[in-house]
Amino acid sequence: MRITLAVDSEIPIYQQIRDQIVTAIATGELTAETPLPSTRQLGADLAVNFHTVNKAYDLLRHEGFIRVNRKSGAVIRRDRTSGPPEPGVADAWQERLTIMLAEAVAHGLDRDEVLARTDRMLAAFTAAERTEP
Amino acid sequence: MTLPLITLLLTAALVTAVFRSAPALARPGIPFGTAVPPDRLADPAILQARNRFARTVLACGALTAALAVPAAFLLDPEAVTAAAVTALVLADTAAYTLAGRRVRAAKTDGDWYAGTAQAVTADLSFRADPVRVPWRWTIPAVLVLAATAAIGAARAGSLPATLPGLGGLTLDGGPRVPATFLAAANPVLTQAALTLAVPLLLAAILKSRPEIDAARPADSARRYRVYLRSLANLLLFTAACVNLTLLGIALRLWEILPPSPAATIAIFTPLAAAAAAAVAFEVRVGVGGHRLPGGEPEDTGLVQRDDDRHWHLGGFVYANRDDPAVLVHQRAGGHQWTVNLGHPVGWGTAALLVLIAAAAAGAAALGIVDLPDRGL
Repeated sequence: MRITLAVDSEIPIYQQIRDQIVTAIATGELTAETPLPSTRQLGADLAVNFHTVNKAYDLLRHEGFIRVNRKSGAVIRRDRTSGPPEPGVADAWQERLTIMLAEAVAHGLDRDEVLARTDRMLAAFTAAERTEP
Repeated sequence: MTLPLITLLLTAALVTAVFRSAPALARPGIPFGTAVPPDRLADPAILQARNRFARTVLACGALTAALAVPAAFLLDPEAVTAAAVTALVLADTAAYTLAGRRVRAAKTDGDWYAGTAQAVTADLSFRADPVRVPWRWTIPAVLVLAATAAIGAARAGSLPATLPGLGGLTLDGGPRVPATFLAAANPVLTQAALTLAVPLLLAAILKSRPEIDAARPADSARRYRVYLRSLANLLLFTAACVNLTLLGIALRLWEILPPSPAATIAIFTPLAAAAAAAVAFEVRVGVGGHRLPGGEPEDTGLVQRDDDRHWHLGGFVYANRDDPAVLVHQRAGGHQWTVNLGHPVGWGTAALLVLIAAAAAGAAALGIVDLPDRGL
């Protein structure tokens, strides 16, 4: 997989790293037990401070996407084939979804449009998996 | 008189040819070590800088030959050659730096990066499936080293009290030197150092940051992978060739091989083969693999981040405190890697080199060691 950082973006670098790893798990590009590069190595490959990568990995670990141990480094903990979500995950996600939906409704997107767009995104994740080798 | 004159003219011509071709050999996106967005590569300012540089390099080469040849007749030809070649390299480097400065000035004046989306891309496949040192290709160099050491050990008991000076065309000129261990084992020690250093250097290069272009990440990653593999093979082939030449020199030094022009040609043929391989590599692969046959066209809508502010002295020196990389691919010139002077290991290495140079100069000044006062 590739990680691309938009240098002038308002989204912080650590957030961009975290978002792209989560997306790669969703599309099946990264599967459970896949090792991630060390923070120093990924920092060197992106020419960003390794503390920034550390922050992204900390966030991913906190959210349950990766596990980090001293010997094997950072490893993807689960993907969508790993079974149902852990307790509390769906509720926490719904809290953030509420804000996203509120934004959509406030901006005048109707129910059908919201559902159609959501459907297209979910289909895109599965399609990406089919085209990946 | 003829040999030093030929050496002088050939070296000056070689330096001129190398500098004259440097802009064409460098990575296409970075004219004279200056990052520019892809749509500005044909900008008149860049073409003008290129033409000016080409003219300056040719003029410097001609001027060096015109001044140094008469000087060689009047003064010591070897000293004149050394001074002339040093001056030529410095002048050409200055012209390269100046050309880079001109491109930078045009870039700043025209605000070339305005409206572009700058990005940087890492390809994790280089970590999941890294290009490794092809250890079995280190075997030829090791075998040649072992053979040289074995011949040396067998010959050690029967060496004469003095060894030939290895000067001139047949490698038997110059004053004979006493057959001390260091003088006699010099070729083998050099081989051993080289055989060890090349794979270690290669391992560090293969681990360093790949040059991925955010504008076409898939294509640049594919090219860089082939580039690394070919470079690894080239370096190990070169190590084996140099070891073979050193074996030849050892045979001459230990007076097993009688002096003759044919023997000299045979001794240096491996070096010529290595040079030919390097030229073929340059023509077919190029820096970062930019000469490899094209892949599918790609456009991410992004341009590679402009990191000029971290590159100094015309793109030869890199210092970025936020970058954890120690070894980085150099932008100016060709296939060199440089240490990041913003990294503690980088400035530690630089400080160590300065200390060693200072210690050597100090020791030479105090007369503790004799520094060689001329090249090969």
